[in-house]
Amino acid sequence: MMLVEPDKDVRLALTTLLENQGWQVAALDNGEALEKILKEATPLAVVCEASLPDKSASNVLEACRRRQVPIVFLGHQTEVQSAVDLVRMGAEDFLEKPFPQARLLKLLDRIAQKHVG
Amino acid sequence: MSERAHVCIIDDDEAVREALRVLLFAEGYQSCQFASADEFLALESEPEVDVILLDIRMPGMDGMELHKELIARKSKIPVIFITGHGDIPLAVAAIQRGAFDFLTKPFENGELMEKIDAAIQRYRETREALEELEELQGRYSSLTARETDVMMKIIAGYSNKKVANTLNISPRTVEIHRSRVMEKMGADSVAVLVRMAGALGIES
Repeated sequence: MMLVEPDKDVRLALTTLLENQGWQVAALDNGEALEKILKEATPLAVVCEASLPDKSASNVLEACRRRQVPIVFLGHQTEVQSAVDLVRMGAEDFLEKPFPQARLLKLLDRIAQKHVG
Repeated sequence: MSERAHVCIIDDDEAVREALRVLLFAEGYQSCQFASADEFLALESEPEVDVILLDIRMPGMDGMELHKELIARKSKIPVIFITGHGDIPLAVAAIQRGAFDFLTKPFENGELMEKIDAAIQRYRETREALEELEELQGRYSSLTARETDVMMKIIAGYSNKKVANTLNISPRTVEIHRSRVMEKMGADSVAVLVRMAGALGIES
């Protein structure tokens, strides 16, 4: 599982949450690093903040789609149009921050099941 | 747009309906308006429109419920949701369910028109693809049982001789069946026939 979140505190909190659920998490703080990793590896899924300083969400989505890696975006209430566009273009989901932790975990379980099964 | 496109507006706010009607008229589109989901569903048959602009919040059945109902009725008309309240979970759910797009008020007229044009374009393509598929299904169902057997073997890559052996008929008979299959299906090569079989969901 790859996590891309520029905010250090949120990144740490999400990493802990996911690791406590038994996921192996590689946490990054920028989109460029994710794109590099996607050239070499195929993670089960990517959880990514929609507003990254270095990469547009649609670029990140495209990089994931090329590798057929499911991606879930996290973002803010003001980004409705961006959420709509990303899901239309193939993102698994777009969760509005703050979201119930259970929602993200359930979503990732579903993605993992789909991926494995 | 080459033909005058027809847009359906479903919104409980009369001022919004009127503003959209005027905008669409000015852009050269026809439109019809409904003040509620129930009013729309009361129609005897689905109206021949190219796109539906649907308000989410309406008294009675709301836009999301109406969208679900349209899906249950196997409607293929693209739906663009229009809402005054940007709500990500709602918007994402609508898109995941198959809505064409989702627009939050206030929006620029140009933005709406772009989405309408994109929806109309996709709907036309969908209809054309469906018509082609129906025509293909018609051709396929005109094959006799024996011709269908022969077609299956052809798309599996069998030679005439091998088809003849497998089906226990003479190579000459296979040739006749084969040419009838190609003629009835309108395929001028095996490659085209294989593509047709793929479109029809037929496995050799």
